[in-house]
Amino acid sequence: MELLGKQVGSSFSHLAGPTLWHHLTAPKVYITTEKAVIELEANCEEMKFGEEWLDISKINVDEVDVSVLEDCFENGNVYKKFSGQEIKSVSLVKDKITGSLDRVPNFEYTCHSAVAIEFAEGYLLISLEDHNLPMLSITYQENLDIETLPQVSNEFEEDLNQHFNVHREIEALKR
Amino acid sequence: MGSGTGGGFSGGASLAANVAKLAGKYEFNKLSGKFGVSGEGKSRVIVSDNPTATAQSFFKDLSAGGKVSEVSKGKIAIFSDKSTVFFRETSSSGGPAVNIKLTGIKGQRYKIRFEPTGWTKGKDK
Repeated sequence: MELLGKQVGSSFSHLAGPTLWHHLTAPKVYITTEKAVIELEANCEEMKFGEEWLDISKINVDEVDVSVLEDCFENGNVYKKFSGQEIKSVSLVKDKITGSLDRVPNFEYTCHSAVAIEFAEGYLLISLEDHNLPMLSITYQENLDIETLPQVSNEFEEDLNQHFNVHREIEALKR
Repeated sequence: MGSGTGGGFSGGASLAANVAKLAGKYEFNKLSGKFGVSGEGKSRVIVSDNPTATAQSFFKDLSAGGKVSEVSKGKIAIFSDKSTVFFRETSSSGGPAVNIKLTGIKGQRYKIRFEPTGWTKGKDK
């Protein structure tokens, strides 16, 4: 995630993805700035919860070669909103999911569910579409109000005994 | 930007329509509206002589018209309504698995594990 913090102050070029079509949902996207091409990819790992194996998704960040963009341009999967604007800040949305069975804690999971890139005219938000599937969703936000950010769907099923709670907070990445 | 050629969504394709089409090809419970039989926990099970080949074929059939991407350890197909099919060749049970997520009013999500002929509930790995 530090890679993203290093982009603060640089000029944003575009958002792209090998399978990032008009509905802006895909497992992998690229953020291109004047300094680097950063890959954000949702990956799933299995995690034991009681007798069940749950798929838990997380966002991986890596710097990649500019050549990965060739297919994106060829297929038209390039989005230029905020192009040329300075990245003012990068923040992470952190979700802490806790579960309790008959009021006894039995599950806890914390992850970064979204990356928010701030521009003078708004935010580019790259978030997990689902806590249990390798999918990222792109939205554009006027502000970074925690109450109005898109919720991440999940398969944590509640019943009379089992309850889940999601606590969300925003943390700014250091430059 | 954002438009182009190269294999996008097929017009009118949906995961719900694919599910309806395949209900006769793979074991399907009309009451629950889900493929497979009840397995351990909340997962469903489809039994066949060749679980890997069946799972691959199942994913190929279900993903028709969706946008397919390679992901770590598998493939995911995303439809324009964000309904999703996620396939892995190996899962915690050892065999292949497919997750189905249908969005909309009749939305549902579940995992199907593919087991070899002879599998019986309660004898999971």
